[in-house]
Amino acid sequence: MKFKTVHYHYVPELLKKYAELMNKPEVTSVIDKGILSSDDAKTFISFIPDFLDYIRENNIEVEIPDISYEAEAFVDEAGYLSEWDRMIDNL
Amino acid sequence: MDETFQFKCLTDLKEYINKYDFKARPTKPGQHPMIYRDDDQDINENIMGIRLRDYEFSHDLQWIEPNDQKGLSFAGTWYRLSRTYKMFNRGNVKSPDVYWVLSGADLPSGLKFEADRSPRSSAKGHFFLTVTEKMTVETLRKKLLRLSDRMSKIVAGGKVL
Repeated sequence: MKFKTVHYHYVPELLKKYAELMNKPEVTSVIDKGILSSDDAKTFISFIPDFLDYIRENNIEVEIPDISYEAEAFVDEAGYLSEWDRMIDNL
Repeated sequence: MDETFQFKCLTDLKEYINKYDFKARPTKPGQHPMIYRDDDQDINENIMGIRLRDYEFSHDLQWIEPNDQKGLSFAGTWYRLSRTYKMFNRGNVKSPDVYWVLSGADLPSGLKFEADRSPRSSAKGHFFLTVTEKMTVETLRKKLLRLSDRMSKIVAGGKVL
């Protein structure tokens, strides 16, 4: 898996699980292969609001700070931090 | 907790907290700022409220080893705090509580805030509350409880302690 974590190693598997539940194979693919293009970054970043909506609508408990930390690091590592920031600003 | 501040919107919170050099943590409403619940093991496996993934435990899980890049996660800037806060707000926790302490506050011995040294700009403003000396899990719990007594709580409008 190319989503390399820094501290919270369970986060990629957790996001992948919900991407599968939400029927978003394009997201699981990015988590598996890493962010290799701006389209990959867009796919992953745009998944985050959908994921947050999904856990809210289904009353699912997750540790947001862990997910925030690792998902942002994943995007930053690939060079798309400004796109991540734009998504956060629009939440 | 020695003080509670209520805010109506994120701008209120930003103006209030930016007056200080702080370390802050957003948490689910009603949750202790640093000690996890015993019935929260599925999501946050912990021993005496200390989450296994936050600190470096000894093999027998009785001790915490010093590590300057492991510890409870804190934001040291408004930018860093707002990132996590907004995700909380959109997700399953409307209006999380924010607990904060002045950066210069006396910490219990053996505890220290350390900047996240991950080589990415996203780590900027992120801190760990680390342990600097080997201590038992029980000792760390007591120190965290002592520190939490000095923390202030900020809540979204309409909610009070």
